[in-house]
Amino acid sequence: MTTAGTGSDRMISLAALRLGIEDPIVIAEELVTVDVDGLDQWFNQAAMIRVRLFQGADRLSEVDPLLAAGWSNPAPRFAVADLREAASASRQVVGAQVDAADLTGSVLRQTRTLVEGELTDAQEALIGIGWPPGQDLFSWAVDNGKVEPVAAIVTGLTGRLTELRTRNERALADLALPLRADPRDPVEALVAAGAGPAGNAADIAGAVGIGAAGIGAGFGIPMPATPGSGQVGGVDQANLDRLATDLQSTDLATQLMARGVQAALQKAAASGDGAQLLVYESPTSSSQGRAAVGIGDISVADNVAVLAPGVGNAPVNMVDGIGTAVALRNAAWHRSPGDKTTVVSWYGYEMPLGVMNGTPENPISALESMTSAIDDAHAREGGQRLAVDLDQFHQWAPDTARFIAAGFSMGSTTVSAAAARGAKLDDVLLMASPGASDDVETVADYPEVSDRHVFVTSFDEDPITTSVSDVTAAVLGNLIRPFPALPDFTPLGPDPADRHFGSQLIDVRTNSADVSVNLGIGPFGSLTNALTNELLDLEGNHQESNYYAGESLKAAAAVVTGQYADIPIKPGR
Amino acid sequence: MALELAVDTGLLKQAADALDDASALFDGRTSPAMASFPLTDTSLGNSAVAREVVAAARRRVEQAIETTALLAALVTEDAGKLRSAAIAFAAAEAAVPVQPR
Repeated sequence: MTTAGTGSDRMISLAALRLGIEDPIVIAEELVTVDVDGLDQWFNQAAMIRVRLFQGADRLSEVDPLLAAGWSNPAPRFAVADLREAASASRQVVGAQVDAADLTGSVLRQTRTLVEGELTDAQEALIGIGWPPGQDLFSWAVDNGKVEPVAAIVTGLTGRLTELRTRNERALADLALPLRADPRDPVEALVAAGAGPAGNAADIAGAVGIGAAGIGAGFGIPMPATPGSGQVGGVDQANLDRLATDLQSTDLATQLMARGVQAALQKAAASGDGAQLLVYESPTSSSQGRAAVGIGDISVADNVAVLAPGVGNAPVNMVDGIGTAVALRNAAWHRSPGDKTTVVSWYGYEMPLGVMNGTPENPISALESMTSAIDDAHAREGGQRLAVDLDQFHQWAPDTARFIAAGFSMGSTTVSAAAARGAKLDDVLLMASPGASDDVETVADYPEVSDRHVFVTSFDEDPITTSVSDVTAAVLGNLIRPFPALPDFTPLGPDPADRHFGSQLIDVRTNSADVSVNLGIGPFGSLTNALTNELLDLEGNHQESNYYAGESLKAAAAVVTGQYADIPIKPGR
Repeated sequence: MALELAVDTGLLKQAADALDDASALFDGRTSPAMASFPLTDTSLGNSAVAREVVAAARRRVEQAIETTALLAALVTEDAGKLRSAAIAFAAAEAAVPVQPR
């Protein structure tokens, strides 16, 4: 194995044995015999499959204009579009696996080279202290008073090879994660939907005078099927049935929400370990509708993290929240691979400004949505709903499961309101919070949450977490409301990052670059600067993706897995 | 419930042909045959994660192949339905009596 051949390796091996050191040659042999070529060869085939999935999906996209021009009924177009989306989702799964295998293969290959180098260096070091290769190393060291330097060289070699072995294992763990996703899931979901409603096949068939089993049969809108058993499985299926009905609704808001939830379920299923539709309520004239998608089977979970998003969201764009949930779940898995963590994307309250993301609303409800961002009324009402939903989730999860509620922005106000209403939570995580709602003054107002288990992440650069948002909301509130009153300067409740609140303020920095401008011209120059920079800070820092990234994401994962010693804490503001 | 339908059976047949193309692309009928799995249980090391990766790699790539086969079958099925629909529409159209001018 070394340049001097296996004889030197054998001498080092025997010396290690006699010195009571872990044999470095055994480690080296394991590392250099890793079959990287086999791994590459296997995933080359996966890369070809990725290409096939891309080409097939691409060809399917050419079908759409033909069907659009050839048949006024949209059902066949939906069916083909769903096939294309399923193929794309499977391609993403396979692509992530191929890319990860490529990176892991590079590390494994590099390790082989480094191992050879380490062995050569160690052998040269031994020769440097006078050891003649070929002689029994340990006997020579004893005879020549060189036991100490020989032990140091062999120990050092073992240590460095152990580090390389750890590096390999990390690289393999990075590959194991994407390999948890089954590429069949998105497509099998469509197959399962084949047993579902057949869309408007009967109408189409009736129009041309043949049976429903003929024209149009099978062009019903497919929907994902999810694993699940027992009680949660029944609820999951009931929700899926409601979703299937809404997918065929003639009401635009209902169908858009249903398609948004369907897309979220498909994305969740593609991330691996299945998805469950834990809550589904159709929209009404005064409601965005409600949905919650769990990634991972809640009935076997060790940890259940429920994520509440902030303003500007609605079930229509729920697929965005799935990205956050997947990121947190992956981070939790990296931190604690043995744990089963279910992350629930909970779109369960009337999120102010949901109209911004395509929720069709009439002008009155749109105005109501705008004004609702300036106080905590929706968050408090949502808190009550979250407390009820959490109670239900507890019944589906094992008794030993830990429950964590994490909220971003107005979602944090909602989570806080839920905790204030007695939601049973092991940990609360408030991120980018504009306030903890008027229901609370300190962590002592959470009856079921231990005061050391309320965590807060508030980037100093995020203006929403400072008093700016409260003052703005108070002033806006008085401008918009029909009967102005004295401004309430904490309309969203106390800042949970404040030292008097009593939370654990997580010591992490923003992942966004600090950008500021100087437009200081004229009499309003300084005001213009301040406003512009506030907006830049808002755009750069107050983003869910900024909080669920880097050290902040790692800290959130530590909260989810209960690894409290790894959560950096700093004094409150 | 009566529906007012606008149908161009020629375009439906073209769409069916395009679906057949897509099916062939998914199926990879022109691709070389898959090689057998080259790794053994300990090919990537003796650790638990190395063994897990070997097992998962085998399973996931095989499942990816199943995925393409399944997609190909579903797309072919839809192509068949479209052709049937085109034929039925054409037959229905032919059956409608022509109104005297």
